[in-house]
Amino acid sequence: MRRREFLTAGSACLILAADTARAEPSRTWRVALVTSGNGAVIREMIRAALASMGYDEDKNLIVDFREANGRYAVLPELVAELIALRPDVIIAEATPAIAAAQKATSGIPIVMAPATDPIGSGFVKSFTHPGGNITGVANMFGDLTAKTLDILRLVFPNAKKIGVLISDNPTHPALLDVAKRAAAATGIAAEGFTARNPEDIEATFVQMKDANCEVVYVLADPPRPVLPQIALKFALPTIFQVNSYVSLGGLMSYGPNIPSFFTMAAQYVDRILKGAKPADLPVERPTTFEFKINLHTAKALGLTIPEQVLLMADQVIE
Amino acid sequence: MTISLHQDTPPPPALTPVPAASALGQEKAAAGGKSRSRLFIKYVALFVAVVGVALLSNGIFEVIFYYREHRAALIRIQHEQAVAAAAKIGQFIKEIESQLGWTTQLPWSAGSIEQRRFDALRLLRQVPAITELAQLDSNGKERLRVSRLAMNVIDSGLDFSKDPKFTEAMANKVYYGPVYFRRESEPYMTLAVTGTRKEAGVSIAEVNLKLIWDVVSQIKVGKHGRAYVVDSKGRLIAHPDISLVLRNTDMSRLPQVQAAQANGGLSDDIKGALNIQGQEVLTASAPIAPLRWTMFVELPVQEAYASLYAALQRLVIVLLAASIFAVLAGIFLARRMVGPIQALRAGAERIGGGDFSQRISIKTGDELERLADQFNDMGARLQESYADLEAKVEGRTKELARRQSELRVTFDNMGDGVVMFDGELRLVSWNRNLQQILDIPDTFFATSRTYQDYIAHLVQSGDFGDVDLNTELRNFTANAERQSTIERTRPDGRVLEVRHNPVPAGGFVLIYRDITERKRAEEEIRAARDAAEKALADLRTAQDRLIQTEKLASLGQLTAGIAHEIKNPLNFVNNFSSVSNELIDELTDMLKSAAIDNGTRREIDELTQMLKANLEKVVQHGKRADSIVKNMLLHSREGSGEHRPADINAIVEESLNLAYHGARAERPGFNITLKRDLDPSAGLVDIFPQEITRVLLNLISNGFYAATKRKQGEADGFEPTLSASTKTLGDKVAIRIRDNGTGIPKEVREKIFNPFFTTKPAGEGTGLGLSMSHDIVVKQHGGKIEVATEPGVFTEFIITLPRKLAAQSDTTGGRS
Repeated sequence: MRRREFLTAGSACLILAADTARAEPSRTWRVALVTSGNGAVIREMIRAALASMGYDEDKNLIVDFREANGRYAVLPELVAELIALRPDVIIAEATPAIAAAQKATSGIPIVMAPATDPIGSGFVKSFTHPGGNITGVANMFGDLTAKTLDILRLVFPNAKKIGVLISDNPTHPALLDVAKRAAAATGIAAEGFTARNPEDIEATFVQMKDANCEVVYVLADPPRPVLPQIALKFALPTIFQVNSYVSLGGLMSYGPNIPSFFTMAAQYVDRILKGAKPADLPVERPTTFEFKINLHTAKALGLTIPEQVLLMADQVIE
Repeated sequence: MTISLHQDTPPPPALTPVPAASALGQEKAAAGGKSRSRLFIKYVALFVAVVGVALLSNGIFEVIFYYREHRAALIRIQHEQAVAAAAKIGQFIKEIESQLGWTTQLPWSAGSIEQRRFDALRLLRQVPAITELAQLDSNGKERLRVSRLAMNVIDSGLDFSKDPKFTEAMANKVYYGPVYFRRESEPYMTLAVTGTRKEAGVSIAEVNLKLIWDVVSQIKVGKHGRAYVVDSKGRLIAHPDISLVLRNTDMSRLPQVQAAQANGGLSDDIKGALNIQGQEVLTASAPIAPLRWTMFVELPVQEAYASLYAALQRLVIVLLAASIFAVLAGIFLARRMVGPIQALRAGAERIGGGDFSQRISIKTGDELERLADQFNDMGARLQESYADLEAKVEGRTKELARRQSELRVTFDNMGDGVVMFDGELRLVSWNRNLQQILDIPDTFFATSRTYQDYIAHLVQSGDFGDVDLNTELRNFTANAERQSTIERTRPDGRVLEVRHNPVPAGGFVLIYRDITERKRAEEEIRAARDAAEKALADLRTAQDRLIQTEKLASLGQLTAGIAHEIKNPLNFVNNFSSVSNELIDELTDMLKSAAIDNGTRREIDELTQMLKANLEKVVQHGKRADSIVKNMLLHSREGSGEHRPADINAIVEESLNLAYHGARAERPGFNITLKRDLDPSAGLVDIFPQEITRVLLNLISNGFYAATKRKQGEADGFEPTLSASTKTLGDKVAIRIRDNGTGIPKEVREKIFNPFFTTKPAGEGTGLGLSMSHDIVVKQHGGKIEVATEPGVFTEFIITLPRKLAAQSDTTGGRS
């Protein structure tokens, strides 16, 4: 008995290093992903990013995925379906999806992946303290709208008129305005053309061709993979904010690295699942921007790209 | 020691040495057991304490020093890490600085602006941290601005010549602007560099410090440690958790940050400091020199001290093991030590208990063994002397027993009852005679052993009559040691003489002797003597009474004679004085006519008047004397006379007068108030007037006597009063004679009508008055005589007489 007492006393004296590594709760997390455009690639990127953080879809993760494929009108319905599945977090790709998710819930955390103008769209109160159930990544396309014209001028120093391709994306009117003013400042006329749905793109290109647009500036929007090919068909050089188009045949792009958005979104998901409050997670912005150019497309369009421009490019596709 | 002399009754209490001794032995044994375990525990505890204290103090010292050294080492390592990290950050900035450097190689006059623009764009490509680059000429005018976000500007001409970016850079070659936050979120810093030549102007870069994240997130501090950078205002610039940076966290409230900033970037080791997440951390810091930033390296205390805790754990295990060993060793040693002592103690106990043959066997080869040998020697010697002693004791005991039995025989055959008590009032001894004399059963001695019990028994058996047990107990206990001899009578009438003799050594003896027979003889003698004496006294009294009666009888005759003889001269006196009176009247008439001068006439008148007055007095007193004499004659007349109807009121009146004068004659100072309340309708009653007068005289003179006697005992103001009243009751008449005298005591009242009973001093009363009165009223007249009295207040005799005398002709004449 004495020995036992002594042991008890001794162990009471001991302050053992607490093992902080707690076992992950064995519950299964439910992550909803809604994309404004085509989402297959995004879904894969999200899955990969979450998997690298220990979320395994065979074990502790269910990803419910809905894509609008550029038909923003169906988004509310998709979001409602997702919410019915009671997700822990909603990842919303691009402003239309975020807006739909914001309307549908104020309780479930929403990760923007990414938003163009989170404050202007009313998603967050500030970058530092979002303050609501929404946080995530801002893509800075708004800041870059004018900058893209710089890139455009590198290749087309004598361009007189450009067409700006927009859609129903709620951010577009503002961006179009910025683009028009920036273009005007450098002596270029810019005109906006709206393609509401992917099917409308071709018709829009007809309009731009008719309007004598020399270059088409595609404002940031969820990806519509058919776009570069249509542009080629109309022999119009295209410059994009979303740089994934370049590898699909777009001529040039200047903007942040798109896959990194989803990696970051996955990080937000991770932190939210671990208990962080979206209201306290600052909105992150990309710090690096890539200038991409597709020489293959340039050749197809019969363009010669100056050496200096090629030197500046972060990625040249040949 | 007390020895009981009584063997066939339960033994007295004191003689119980054997059980007492055995009880003592048991106690000793119990005490021995306790002391043994105490000794054992003491040894073990001492051993454990010594070992434990040594181990514990050693352990504690080790822990303390280990803790200090460990902490110091940790801090040192961390500090080194902080210095290294600070160097990396410095390197990061220096690199940007040197990259900027080559944009300021060329003077503005040389080279086209386009070339510079491409250079700038190239720089942006190469240095991702630079978000914007502006180039000023030597006059402070902006010539070129290239940005990652905004459109490039050429020759904006903005004037920076007063801006510190330009002035400071021109003065110091390099300028580090303050940290600022774009959109309140991303930390930026302006870095301005001037070339070696002044004409080359200034390159201003806006550096996105978020990219330091790459640096700090690569600095590994332990497992959970972190490195972070804080600017001179205490704001967080770089932290592995980028969201903390983006949140524009203010670190200046942390004590370690405050300490470091107060101390030029080097902070002392601050104990118990918490980091921004609220964890307790060990923090070291190093300044990032040109920027006035501070590099912090922190390590959670839990992790930092993990090895310390492990050491503590080891120490506790060692301590535990050592303690267990100490306990076991202590038990072993204590057994070795206590075992022989235990054997010694047990041996000593048995020797003490009388087992002298006991030998203690201890083979430890040390002092304990020698002690055991000495014990054995002592035991052997004790055994020898004990045997010797036992033989002597046996002889003496036999002698004592013989003496005791002799004494017992004597004791039991004594005539007296004897009981002995010791100094504590305990019953020591007694003999058979005591039990016989006091009827004490054997059972009493079986249970009762004290004087109190003894007295209680006697009280309960009624030996002292109806008394309170407790009071008696107190009295007897208080007087237990006092010498006394008393006699008392038992309830069965036997008389005992009790002698109470203290014993010099304490205690006392009570000796009872039955003296009933002696007492009875004495009593009988005394009774006989008393009877004789009483008879003699009665005889004398009777004699005196007889003499008195005789005297009175002869006095009556004498009085009658004298009265008769006095009556004749008295008649002469009366008659002649009245005649003389008449003669003086005649003389006066005659003198009126005689010729006498006025003077002589006046003198003659005076003289005749004086003579007349004198004669009237003579007549008056003569008549009084005549009345007295008549009464005397009346009273002393022989025989009862005839009964006749007589006026009862007159008789009462006459009796009052007679008695009053009699009393006055007897005692000149006699005075009393007489009251009369005579019923006029009382009328005539058929009586023997003389007899009733005698009765009344008797009662009245008794009343006078009592009232006078009371006056003698009372203060002034007492008025002796006697009242007489009559009242008609139809065919009866009641006469009441009431005085306010001394009254008659109850015990006397029964006897007042007895002949010869008197309360008056011898010679004054005959004791026959009331007896005679009773006879006259009751027997002669068929009436009643009653007495109502209250001692000290009054006495009233009530005589009730029938108006018609019943035919009791056989009544004797009177009594003398």
